[in-house]
Amino acid sequence: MSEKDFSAALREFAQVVGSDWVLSSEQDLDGYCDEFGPYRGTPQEVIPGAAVAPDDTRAVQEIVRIANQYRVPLWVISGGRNYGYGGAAPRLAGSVVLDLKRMNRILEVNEQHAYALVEPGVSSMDLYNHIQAKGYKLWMDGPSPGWASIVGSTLERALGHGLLPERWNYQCGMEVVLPDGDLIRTGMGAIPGSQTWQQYKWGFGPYVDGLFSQSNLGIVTKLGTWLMPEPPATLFGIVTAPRQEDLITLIDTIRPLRLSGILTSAGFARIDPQGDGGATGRGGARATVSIYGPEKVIGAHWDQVQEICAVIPGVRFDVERYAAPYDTAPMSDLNKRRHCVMSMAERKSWDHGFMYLSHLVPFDGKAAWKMMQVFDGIYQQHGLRFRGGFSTGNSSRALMCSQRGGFVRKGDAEFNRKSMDLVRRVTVDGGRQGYGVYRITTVFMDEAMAAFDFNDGALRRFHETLKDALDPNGILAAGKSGIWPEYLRGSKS
Amino acid sequence: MSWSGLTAIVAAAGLGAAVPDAWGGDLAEDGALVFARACVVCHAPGTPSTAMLQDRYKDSVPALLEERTDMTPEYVRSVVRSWRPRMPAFRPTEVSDEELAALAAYLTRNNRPRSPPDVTRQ
Repeated sequence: MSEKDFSAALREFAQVVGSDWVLSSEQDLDGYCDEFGPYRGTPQEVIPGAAVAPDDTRAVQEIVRIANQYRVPLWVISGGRNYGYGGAAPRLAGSVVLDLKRMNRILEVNEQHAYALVEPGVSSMDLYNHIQAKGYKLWMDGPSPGWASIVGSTLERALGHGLLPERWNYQCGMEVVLPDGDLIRTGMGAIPGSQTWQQYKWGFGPYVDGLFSQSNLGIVTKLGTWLMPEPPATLFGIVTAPRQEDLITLIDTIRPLRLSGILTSAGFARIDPQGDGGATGRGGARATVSIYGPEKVIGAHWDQVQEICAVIPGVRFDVERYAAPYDTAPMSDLNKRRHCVMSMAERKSWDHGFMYLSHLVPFDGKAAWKMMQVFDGIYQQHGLRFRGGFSTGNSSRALMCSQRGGFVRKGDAEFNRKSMDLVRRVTVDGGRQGYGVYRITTVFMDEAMAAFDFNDGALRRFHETLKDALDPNGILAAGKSGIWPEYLRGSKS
Repeated sequence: MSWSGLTAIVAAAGLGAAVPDAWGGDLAEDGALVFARACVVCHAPGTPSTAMLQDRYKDSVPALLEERTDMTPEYVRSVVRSWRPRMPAFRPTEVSDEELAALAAYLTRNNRPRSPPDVTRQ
């Protein structure tokens, strides 16, 4: 693409959105970086060429058509706060960032059927504040902090902390601008005038919503998300066992409760490095469970948890209970998250950076223990020890192992090089042993996708077949999840 | 989002009655709405950010931004648009230039006007 074509494209973008919303100054572009990534401020940092910010779906379609005409690569962001996973920065230098933040309308909140329909620029805080202001008795869930875009975090399959932790599982219906500028609505939304767009996911025929998750096959401009009625009561239980090896039993005893539907919400299990055998209540292994519902029902569920976990020698139980109406103001940050209060309270140190690492393992105690040993071996080769825990949402039957690795120090190239080596090793070696990631920073998307190589990379070939069919000019989010357009495939992947 | 769309969020944040008499006129009142939407989640009383500022400034200046009397519009714009430790940059799509001007007016509304130069002294 020549500079002449790039400039012409920017002029045409300006005719669509107004010149104020085609951003190209140095300060403007600094907002579209990976501030917390390992390449920030280095020659390897990926810098966009410009940004364009539409206000509605029609403008997105026009921008896509212009991008195709001039072969301008686009990188799409909803809120642009994907910290730890690449932020707002593209993978391909010089891309034009398609910033959807101005599309920030809450299109509908339906209290009777407990759903919302939102545009990409709506953050969790926006929707939460709207629900509070309207007095709806509805809860929503989402990742922390609350400034994340609902559309963006849902498409990334990010996790919440409370009643509906796997946000992707509660997505229902979307509107998508395709890479050629065409517009579709998925599921029941493809029927004009449908009343069930946000109530029945599947529609008729192939279920396509997943194609637009962690993907570069379309631009989501509207997304339906399920909410839940406020539960009458909540219960947060902690099961503490004296030995770190008790983690195996904890996981195995909780699994049937999870499969039977007694435990349906976010739960966590981890070893406690400072465990003292239970002498001061801090055990070698700990599981936390969150139960929501009528008081009698959740009380019975907690009784069941205690009865089943009583087989663990030295086990102890602690519990906190709450009932509606909830006074969340004095709650700890953790309990606020469990009560689906959106806030900015949970923030990592913003002085430096980080690369999140999370792998999947069967919901099996020995499998989880083995994974920890495998990763601990890798960490020790880097002078560190494995620190992490296992979480489960209420749809997944696997455990997600989130690790405290991948730290970034601004200005410390040597530290960051070692940190990247660690993340690369965990990703690649973990992949060789069958552990795949659920999500990863843009820096390592190719390595992560390489682990999914059954039948000589058939899944990647399938992704590329779809990419070539839907985006023959390769203008949309090149490199997202390791999917490169054909013209870049040899040099990049 | 229209200005009217911010009204509900102001009510939820409990700021409806707290908008001061505008040193900057209507612009400062509009800035209060911007603060409520974009800033208060981190800069309200009792938040980690406010605690951090309290620790940084001790009592030299108020930790609550709305109580400051020493900031300039240029400083407000610089902080909002640039990456700082513990605070990310806010893009124009998150806080537009127009909204930023209003926010700056709001956060500087309590500044004491500078005295004019004493031209009698030569």
